[in-house]
Amino acid sequence: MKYLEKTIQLLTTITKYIALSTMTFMMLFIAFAVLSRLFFSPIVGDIELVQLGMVVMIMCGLAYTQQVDGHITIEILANKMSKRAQTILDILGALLTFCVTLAFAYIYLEVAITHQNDMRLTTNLLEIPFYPFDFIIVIGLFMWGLEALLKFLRSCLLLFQSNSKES
Amino acid sequence: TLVACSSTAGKNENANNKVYELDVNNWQPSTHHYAYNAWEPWKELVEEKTDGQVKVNIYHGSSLGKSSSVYQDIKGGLYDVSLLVANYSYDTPFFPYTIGSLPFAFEGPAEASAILKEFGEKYAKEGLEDLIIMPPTSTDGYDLFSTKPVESIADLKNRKMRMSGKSENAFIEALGGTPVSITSEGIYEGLEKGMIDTAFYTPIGGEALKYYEPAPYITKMAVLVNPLIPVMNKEFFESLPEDLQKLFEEELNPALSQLFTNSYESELEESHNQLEDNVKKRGKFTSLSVADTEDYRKHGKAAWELWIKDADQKGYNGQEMADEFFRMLEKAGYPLPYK
Amino acid sequence: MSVEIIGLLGILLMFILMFLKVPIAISMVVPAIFGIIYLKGWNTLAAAVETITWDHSFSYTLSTIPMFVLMGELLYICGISTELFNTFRLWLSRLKDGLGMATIGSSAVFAAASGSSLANTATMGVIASKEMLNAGYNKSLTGGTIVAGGTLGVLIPPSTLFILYGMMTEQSIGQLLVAGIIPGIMLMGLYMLTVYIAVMIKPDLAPVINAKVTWKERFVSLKSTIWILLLFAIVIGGMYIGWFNPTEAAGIGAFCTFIIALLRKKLTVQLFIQALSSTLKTTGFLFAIIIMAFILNYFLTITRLPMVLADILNGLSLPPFLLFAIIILMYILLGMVMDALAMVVVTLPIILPLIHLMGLDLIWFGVIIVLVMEMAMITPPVGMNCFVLKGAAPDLSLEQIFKGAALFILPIIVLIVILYLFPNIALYLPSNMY
Ligand code: NA
Ligand code: NA
Repeated sequence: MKYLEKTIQLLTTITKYIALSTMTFMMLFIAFAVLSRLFFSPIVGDIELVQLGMVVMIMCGLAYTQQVDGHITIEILANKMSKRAQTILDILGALLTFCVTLAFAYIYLEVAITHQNDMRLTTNLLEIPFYPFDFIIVIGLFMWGLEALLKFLRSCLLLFQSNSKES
Repeated sequence: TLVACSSTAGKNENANNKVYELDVNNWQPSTHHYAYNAWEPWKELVEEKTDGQVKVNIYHGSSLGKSSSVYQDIKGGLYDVSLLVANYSYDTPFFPYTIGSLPFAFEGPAEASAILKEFGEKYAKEGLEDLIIMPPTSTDGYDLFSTKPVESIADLKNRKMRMSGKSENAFIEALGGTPVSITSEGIYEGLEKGMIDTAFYTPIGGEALKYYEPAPYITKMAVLVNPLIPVMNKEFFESLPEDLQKLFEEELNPALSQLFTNSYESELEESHNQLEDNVKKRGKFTSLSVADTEDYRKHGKAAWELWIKDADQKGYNGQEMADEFFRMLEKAGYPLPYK
Repeated sequence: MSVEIIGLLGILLMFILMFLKVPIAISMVVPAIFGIIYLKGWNTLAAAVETITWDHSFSYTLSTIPMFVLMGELLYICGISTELFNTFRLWLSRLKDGLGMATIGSSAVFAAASGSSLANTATMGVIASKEMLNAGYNKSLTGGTIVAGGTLGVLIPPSTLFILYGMMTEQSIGQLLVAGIIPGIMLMGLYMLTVYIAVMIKPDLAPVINAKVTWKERFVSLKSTIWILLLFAIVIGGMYIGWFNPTEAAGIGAFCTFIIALLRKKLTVQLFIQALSSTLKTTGFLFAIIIMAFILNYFLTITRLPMVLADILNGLSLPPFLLFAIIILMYILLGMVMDALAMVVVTLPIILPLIHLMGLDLIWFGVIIVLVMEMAMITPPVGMNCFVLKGAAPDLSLEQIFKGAALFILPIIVLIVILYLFPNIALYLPSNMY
């Protein structure tokens, strides 16, 4: 468990810093593109680069958001329940998140492989292929799933411990 | 099933009482001419000709998917019928059809539908077996909207010209303009604020979106069209009984393409009149002289060369395709893109 | 089982999951997954996931969201938004509810630089929530004031929603944007009035005034806002002059704030990473919700539930006023459970012909649509502004925010009624444009 936890957290930290760098890059790049258009010449493909930056930033941010428990929930009912019931709800939420993100990662893996081998989609002007970004989507979703798995295991452990205390 | 019972009763004893639901994705708003000139009349036609066995549900406003992903969406069965913009499928097996979007390939949808069907059948086959392709057509020819007067090509030098893709980029560079990429949502504001000086746009769309307000200098040039191909999900098609399959193939599908062609032709005339009227006081609506037309056409060649290179890269024989395309135009008596 | 029933069951399941503390993004997508597989099969689900995920992340327009959020974070870190807020606070200090008004006032000013109500909420949320809570404001009122102020972001130009509406209805985007100005200022006034009346009725919502503010202090505070004036001059001015478009304005805004923060020596690497990280967190959950909402949206569309609703409306031959009221009511109900954007994308095609029949002006209706979308953003259980504020101000619970937001539904409805009676309020500026 400790080992698994450490590995997942390390991977999430890596995706997080990729996202942070991308965000910084986007900010600087948009300013650079505007200045260049005003004073020199427009940059060909500036929109595409921002679009690709968005894909990287969003996908690499999903796991981090899960790590800091940032995916919004409604707690009106849960707050009125016992600790134990809340833990069970946490297990449900984490399990569903894990299943959904894994299914989506699987779907996107097929997309990525198709785009790599059969139908090489690219951006319009710079002709940057989509498939590496498809793989980033796969990784982003998969990491989100792993973070959810971590939460699932932690909550299960919590439930198990409280069970053994009671008995 | 009520519809099916009442209309098929007694007419065809063997008729399957099952009603087939056909979902149409109109990625334009319900107020667009696609809706009232093409999709709605086609719905009526389909339901009438199939005696209500096929019920058509039209979903407007991209609510089932965007225009940029029709190829993927139709294959995945998100909906059964939609209109595919060849240029949004540049990297898919629809690539050969994009030849029709090169500068001065066609003047309008009538030409496009006359040529592209044969051209597509010859070159765009592989990889398209998993959907049903209807006869191709195209948009109206794009005109030039400009914030400042454009008397000749020389006036375009260093102008900031909006470009939306590779071939437009090459064309603009050949004209001496500075290509600026702006999303189509940003055109109006871009023209208004001077971020761009010109935009190539469909006169029908430019009239509807009032581009003549910021850009009242309009040059009628039909520089390019966007090939459009109505497509159908194959599973849906194969779920139909044979007689209905035949009906679609022989009658209903060609009718849909024809409706789009007609829609563009009739709307175009109206739009040109409206545009001319609207800029009377504040700008100018001009047609190109024969000499100017030749001049513009010459500058379009760069875009063709780029396309040929792309085609080669994709494993086609680009030069042969372009030559064949020119031959088809010539045979049908249409003007050539350039000499 | 008819498809409409499946749609209803899907919505029911979504609510159950949401209230069982399943993350909102996941709650929305689980019924959609089952529904799409049941109605169309796995391949269709895969295609929906493929294109929807890509469309809503590979998006130029949506880049305004992280960039404006980052701008807000940086403004906060270098103390500028606090100063803007402070200026309003000092000038309004004679009022018992001055801070609430300051929040709304500075939101309105900020709205003139931001095109999204989410960015507006995020930016003002960080500062105003800390200040208002420290001063002893009621938590619900604090939350409500901020999310309401945030909605001004899409009514006062620039506005991503007007641009979207203009695209969908083929109306002049320039006219639409201008149409939002007067209603935007009016809504600001109505929000302030709401705070004023609320505090008048229940004085313990706001703290007693203890600070004495001199006129000198007020004018000194103006001096400290020079940075924000400069920033706004660049961001708004640059946009109006045409140096950059509204999407780029977000990036430029973030960049300029970054430079200002450097110049004021307020930015350390640590703080910068902190600003980036909290932007990332907001971006992460927002886009998770946006993507899942559109998958749900596809499911609801194929069940034809929204259309059935509109058809029922169409079928009743009612007087225009009543029909209009029903349309608004429908939007209020839909806006509770749907993402505002998704809601309008789905229903507009059906509503528009109705609006045509009633002889209503489409520019005017654009303003109305933006108002109902604003309402959708602050009504529970799906209210984007409230989610954003929850992200920006962890001290507030979602329930408190929604409770406070409910208060501000009233001024929006009042404004809709005013605009219905006097459509020229919205149409005066656009009709004098050309
Ligand atoms: Na705004
Ligand atoms: Na809501």
